[in-house]
Amino acid sequence: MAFDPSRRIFIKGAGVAAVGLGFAPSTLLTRAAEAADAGSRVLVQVFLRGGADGLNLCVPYRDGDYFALRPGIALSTADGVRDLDGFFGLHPRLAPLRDLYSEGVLALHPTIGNAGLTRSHFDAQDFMDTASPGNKTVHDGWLERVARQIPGEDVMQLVALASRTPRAVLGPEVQLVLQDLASFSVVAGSGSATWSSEADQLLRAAYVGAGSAVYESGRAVFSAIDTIRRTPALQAGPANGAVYPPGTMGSGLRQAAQLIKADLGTRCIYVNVPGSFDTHANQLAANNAEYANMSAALVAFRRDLGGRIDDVLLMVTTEFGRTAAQNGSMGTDHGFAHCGLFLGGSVRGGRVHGTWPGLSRSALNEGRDLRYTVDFRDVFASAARWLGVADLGQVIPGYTPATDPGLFS
Amino acid sequence: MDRLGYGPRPESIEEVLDRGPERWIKDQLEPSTDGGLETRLRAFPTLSYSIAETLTRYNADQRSLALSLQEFRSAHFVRAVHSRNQLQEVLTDFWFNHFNVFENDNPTTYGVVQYEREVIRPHVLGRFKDLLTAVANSWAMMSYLDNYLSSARSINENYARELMELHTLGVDGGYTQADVVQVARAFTGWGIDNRAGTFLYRGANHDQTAKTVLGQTLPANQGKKDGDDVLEMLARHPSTARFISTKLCRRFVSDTPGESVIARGADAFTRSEGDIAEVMRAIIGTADFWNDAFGPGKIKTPHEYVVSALRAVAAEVTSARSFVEGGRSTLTAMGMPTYEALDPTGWSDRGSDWLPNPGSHLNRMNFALRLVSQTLEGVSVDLRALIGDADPADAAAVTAAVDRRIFGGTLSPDVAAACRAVTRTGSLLPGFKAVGMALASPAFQVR
Repeated sequence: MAFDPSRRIFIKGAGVAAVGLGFAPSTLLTRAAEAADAGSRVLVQVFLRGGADGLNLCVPYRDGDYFALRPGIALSTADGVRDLDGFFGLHPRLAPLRDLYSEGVLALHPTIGNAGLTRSHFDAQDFMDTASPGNKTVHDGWLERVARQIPGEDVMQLVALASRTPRAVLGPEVQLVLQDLASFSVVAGSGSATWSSEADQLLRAAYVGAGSAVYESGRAVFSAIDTIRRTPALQAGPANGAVYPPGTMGSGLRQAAQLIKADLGTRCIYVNVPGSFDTHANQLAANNAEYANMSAALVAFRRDLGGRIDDVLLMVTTEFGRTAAQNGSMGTDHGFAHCGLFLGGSVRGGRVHGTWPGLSRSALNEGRDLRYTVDFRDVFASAARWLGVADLGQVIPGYTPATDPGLFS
Repeated sequence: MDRLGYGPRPESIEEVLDRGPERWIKDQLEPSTDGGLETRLRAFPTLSYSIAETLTRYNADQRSLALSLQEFRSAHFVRAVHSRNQLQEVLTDFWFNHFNVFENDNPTTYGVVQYEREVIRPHVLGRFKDLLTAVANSWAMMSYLDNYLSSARSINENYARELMELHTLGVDGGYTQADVVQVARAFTGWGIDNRAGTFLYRGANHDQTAKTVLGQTLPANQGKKDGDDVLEMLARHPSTARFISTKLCRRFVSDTPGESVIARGADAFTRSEGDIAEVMRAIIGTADFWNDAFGPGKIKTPHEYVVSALRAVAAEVTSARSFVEGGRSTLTAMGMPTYEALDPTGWSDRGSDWLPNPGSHLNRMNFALRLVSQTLEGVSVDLRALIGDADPADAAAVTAAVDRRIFGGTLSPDVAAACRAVTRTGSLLPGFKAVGMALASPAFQVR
């Protein structure tokens, strides 16, 4: 993973600043052309940390076993479950998503998984982020490998909205990890002792020289600061009257939409959502809060993007689903198959995908979990192909994707 | 001092020059009691708990675990920042990372404090074989790599594989998948006592049939000795000598150490039967060690960056919370939350894996600026120790002092100019600003 100083980092739309730093204009133009050729599609992955319960998200409300297994926490139409296709319905707090489903931009797949995903949060999350279940020798992230296959060297190509670098974006490709675009700046002191702009100016001068990768890295910091500062779309509020809910998911999707609309060469966005998804106890209350939030965020994101939704594919993922039966604390424990949500103009929406393995005793994995019917790597591979990646072997090493799950067109 | 330790404290360059660098290196290789540090560590009573005590307290009050881990993290920085035995601290960090366990893994978590204290630390300059054996017998490693779940009826290969790939031979060290299975069988029965918090061998779980590991036969009915024989075999293996030397060279010399320095270290390893201090002496004795020290430098990891900055400003550290956990410009935001490397591989020891990364790099800059602005809880800065008699309002004088005492006179003209150019506006003295500039600059990102 050695840093190659010849790999220039530049920003589309900040050409003058880049030239000022010694980049040859011809290189700049070539790279910009490459980036344009690759199209303007953007893949957004939302990761719900903790193992979100799929059975109360995409509710099989016509399956009698579901009610038998969850006498205290099963949801019915009387509780407000919103029908999708006559068999599945949305959690009551996700009901606003029914409009996106009708519009044909939202699809669900309730049985995604992998045999190698363990019941350990950390291992399962890691295995998904690296797209290499059971293999701890793969260190870089799957989304980073996607970004590596895409032409262009934009500093904003791969962005993670997260408080720490998620494994999915780790690797040699430059990744911009931040929580908040608006506060991505040099901060020195506070109140009357503030000297932030002075520090910013002097540090720029300190990083002008050449000598090592450190200088390049520092200049990338200021490139990103300048881009964020000079791009009106990154300061603008949501369009079309969209209102994002407070919290990580709302702020993550709001900023993802800003990046998409700003056209800065961003192609992959990872939104990390730590939340109350690990519902071992009192699941109903936790789900009500989180799913209301998620629903509002997704509705706002769709409204905000307007026609740009055609260039966007958003996947909501989590490391595993939860046990089919409730436990002794009105909650559920770590399970197997999880439910994915897919939003975008290319999504084959308005349907619940996959075959339903059922929840009868014999249909359950180890007698306790919903089985998966599609490998999450097939979903990832399909998303990478949609983004324009030709060599899927580079994205998911050592795995030959099965038949395309048909989630996207 | 950048190489063998976490960088100089202001007073230390003169101290080292007074006594001579050879003497300083000798002291580092033969650490003696540091009374000042011991006194500081008394602030963290949970550091001395046994695993059994940790479990008992946890069962009485689950919050006790978080408190103990918080003290553990804070103590890590108190040691790194204040200890006179810098090499011992760097090596403790190195070997913990080499034999990495994840702090929050269950039930590993109850054993991590004991793991560093009794398994890693006593052996960091001792014999590799003793270190390897202590690790193999530890609660933390037994549980982290699942060996406690492995039995003759159903083996778990996790520990066996990492033992050869990461702890000893290296991935190209000449073992096969068949060896992994045989080694896993050799370690069946090695486990932990859940209540006592100790190692426990369960004979009934052991595979008593004969095994062949790396071409050598382990006779039938050896019991626990199978595992001991494997450790002995691996500790003496030439691939291990080379693998360990390479990793030490990568930490202490450069991201891409040359063949000759690796070979010197490996020879010393073999000759001394794995005496780590001898390997260190061999590496320090090479031209590569001294040449690379004066080259463009190795990019610091976020941890090295933060500790070296705290040392540079003669910081007094009582808690690490403000720069480790949550929020911006912390180690977590830089991508290296303390003791939270998830994988058995630990954190990368290549500087080039940490930068470029604009988000993380900005957090480094802002950490340095927070530090000199004295807004970090649990950290106080002693600028006087750094600048001596220089006027704290005189940026040029402070820059000269910083150049001399932190950078050994190597500060580049660009960086020195940026430090001198700080203004008198605002309430923070120019001297503090100049120090902040120096620590946020490219010069301080490398060692």
